[in-house]
Amino acid sequence: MKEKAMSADGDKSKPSKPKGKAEFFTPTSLAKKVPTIGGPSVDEAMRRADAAVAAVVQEFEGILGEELDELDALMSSYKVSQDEETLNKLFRRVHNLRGQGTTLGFPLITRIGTSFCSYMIERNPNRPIKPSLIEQHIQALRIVLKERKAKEGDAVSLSVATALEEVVRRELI
Amino acid sequence: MGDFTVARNYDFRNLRVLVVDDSQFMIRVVSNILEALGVGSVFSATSGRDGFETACRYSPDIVISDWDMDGGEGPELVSLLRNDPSSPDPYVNVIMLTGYAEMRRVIAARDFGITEFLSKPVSAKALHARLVALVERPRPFVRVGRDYFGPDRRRAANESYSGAERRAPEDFADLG
Repeated sequence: MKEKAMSADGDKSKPSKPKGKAEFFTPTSLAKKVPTIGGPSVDEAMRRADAAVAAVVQEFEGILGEELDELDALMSSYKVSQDEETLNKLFRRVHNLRGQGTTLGFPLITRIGTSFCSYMIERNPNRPIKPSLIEQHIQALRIVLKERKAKEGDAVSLSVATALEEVVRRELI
Repeated sequence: MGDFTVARNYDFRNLRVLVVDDSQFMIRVVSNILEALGVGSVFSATSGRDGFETACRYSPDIVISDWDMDGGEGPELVSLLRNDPSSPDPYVNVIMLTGYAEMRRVIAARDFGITEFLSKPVSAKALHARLVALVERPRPFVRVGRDYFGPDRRRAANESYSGAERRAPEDFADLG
């Protein structure tokens, strides 16, 4: 089933033509470019990296506001057109926010985004999509930002997120 | 992950890393973390196609790519890197960064030839762990006919095993 490695360590030549069997190759190891001494300690590297993320977090609140404005505009457009292209644009923007939220100090953005993405990806195809549910997710993202700016805690966002998750859970059945 | 992560002071300054994501903000986050970890050269691109062109220009050691992007997706980029005749390095290390943590996505990404998988939200700790894994646990490559070329999808080959070629999804469970 298997053959021995066909190339010596360090051989980064192009792989040979397929022959129908499993052929094994050993690429050049990154270890040759990464000394294990001389770099920062793990603690120091983490401290620097966390500081680097913190610097970006400062900007995220403003960018989040701009993103939500874009989402509102897309939502208004989708309510009229209900076309696939606009829905895909909405999905991509929420999907990106979902990926950034927790990293940048907005775990509820990730949570609401996850609920939205679950609805879009896993919903029962036999059921028509509900624009109202999509809009409620967009509005929930806005509530998260509003509460953060007002330093009001996240009680409303939390209960809205929980309610949306429950609605989506029922929609996926 | 072994305890080598805390025992060694990795010097990443010679590494060249390409970050591909359709979110400029996410590119900044990942690039900032990489630079803070000491990576010497960080390049970026905003689509799979753009990513491939950038890879051809700079020959990165590692490509960190989002899965799902406008203008060309992550799997397409991986396929180009692994199989296109103009690829700068078919063996390049690819870390697939994605908001999709579902196992079916992980398995699909692995079958496209990625080296490591990193789910969002990304953290400095998880990213550092992936870099260390690439250094400490290099993956042999395998070509299986015309069906697959990429890292061996088994973490450790058992030379005495003579059964069917199967792959364990848990190999790609969260490593960080």
